[in-house]
Amino acid sequence: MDLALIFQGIGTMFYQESNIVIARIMLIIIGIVLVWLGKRNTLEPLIMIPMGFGMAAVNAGVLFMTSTTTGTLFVDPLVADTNGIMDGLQVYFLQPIYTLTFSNSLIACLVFMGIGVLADVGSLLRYPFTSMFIALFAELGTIAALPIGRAMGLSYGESAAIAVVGGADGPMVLFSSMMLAPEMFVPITVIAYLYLSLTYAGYPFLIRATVPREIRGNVVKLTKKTGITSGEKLAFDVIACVVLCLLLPVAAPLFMSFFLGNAIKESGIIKYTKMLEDVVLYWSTFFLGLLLGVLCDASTILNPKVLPVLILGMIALGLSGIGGIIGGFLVYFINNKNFNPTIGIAGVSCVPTTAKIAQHEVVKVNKRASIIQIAMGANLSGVITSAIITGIYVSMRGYFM
Amino acid sequence: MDDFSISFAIQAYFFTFVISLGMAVLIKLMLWVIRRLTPKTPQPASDTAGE
Amino acid sequence: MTEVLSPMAGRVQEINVKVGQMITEDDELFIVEALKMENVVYGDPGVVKEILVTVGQEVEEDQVLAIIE
Repeated sequence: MDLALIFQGIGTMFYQESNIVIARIMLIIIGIVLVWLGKRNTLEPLIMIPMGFGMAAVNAGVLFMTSTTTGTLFVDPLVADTNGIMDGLQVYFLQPIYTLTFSNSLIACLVFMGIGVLADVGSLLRYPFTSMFIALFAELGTIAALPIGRAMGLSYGESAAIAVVGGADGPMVLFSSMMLAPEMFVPITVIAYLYLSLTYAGYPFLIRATVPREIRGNVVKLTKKTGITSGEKLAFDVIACVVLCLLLPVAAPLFMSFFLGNAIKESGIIKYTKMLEDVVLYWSTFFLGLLLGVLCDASTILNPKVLPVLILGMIALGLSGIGGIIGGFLVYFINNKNFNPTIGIAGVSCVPTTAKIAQHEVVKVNKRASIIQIAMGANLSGVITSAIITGIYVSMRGYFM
Repeated sequence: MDDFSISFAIQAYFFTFVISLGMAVLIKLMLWVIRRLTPKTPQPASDTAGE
Repeated sequence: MTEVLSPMAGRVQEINVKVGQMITEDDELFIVEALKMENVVYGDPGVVKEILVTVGQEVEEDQVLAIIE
């Protein structure tokens, strides 16, 4: 009665190398912590609860695949040849989702469609220059992280993929890391999602440290408010989609997904809107979180390059936040102080989190102030500028890969 | 930081700048064209009227 | 006479005033829920003349919620 062969989750621990065993135990603990933090709402529960569960389960449920190798029945991210994939699809229970939605970025695009169907581009259309201006400054981290990453010893592809974390958009990080640094896409994407959840905690401090209290509560006096009709928003969706796809076809799936989602909202097709809002968005978010967790098995994570990813990701997001606030201040001065620099942080395109953070911090100082409209304009331009940079990085990958 | 990655990043930023501001111009242009072409209706007080 | 406008598109979660009520500028008149965030809507001091929305109604950005005299 070899207990190690009956209870293989534990038995494999005596067989694998000690650093893998330690990593497995730590990942199980981290997975549990993520679920708890998700429940407490410290981190985004929609992603963290499936991710934490997946992470804990995949590191616990290791078995002997053959007499000399260990593995799990969850997913095999490395299988590449056609026969291997066909076998894998029948052996690993999450393989179909992984192969058919993850590696081809379908799931990232579906999430983007969901973001599009929830977004209101009205503010962006009403104040295009202000919104784009702030969004461009909020990409500071995405740009600076590339040379910084290189200085840290990472390859171009890796630096670029991590730099996209500064764009604060989960699906885009998935997309770019798949195309620019596929071997590292698991740690990069997982860390990206973790940090994006943490911006909720970190950015308010950044705002309070950089925007003085007297200005933080500024009410922005807006000139005549022209209404933007649904038809105009729809026209924008179509035109912007076509223009951006023409310029950066590598990112066309992402562009089309976002604009299609928004177009469905603006065209008033309720059945499609409900389908995207209620089913597609939540389905993809759920499986995205689950897959990411399940991909975090010890052997994939034990990559010495994870540490630079952790550091560089934080630098990218931090610089983007600072950049956004700088942009906010510039608009403040250009508009003769008729602006609230806090809005700058909404240019970091974590929709709608950063816009909400900006509104929250402003309301805390002045309860009558409402900058959420302009913040959303900046927020959505942030999505577009991040997508543009991602598209450029991926398009230009021939130069360095 | 090596020269190429800095110049590369700056180039990428420059393109992004141009495209983004180009989008802003496009938006203004588009709205102008649409408003010229649609028949004059009394300005609604809110977005929902008549939609 | 002023209009109380909705700060953004969302759902009217709460209506805390009645027609004819005297309000100050600190009174929370409405709560509009959007993006899982509660936006409190304030108004200028005066008397509530009309309330144009109901609880649960979906509103647009800048939609008139009430008229104050």
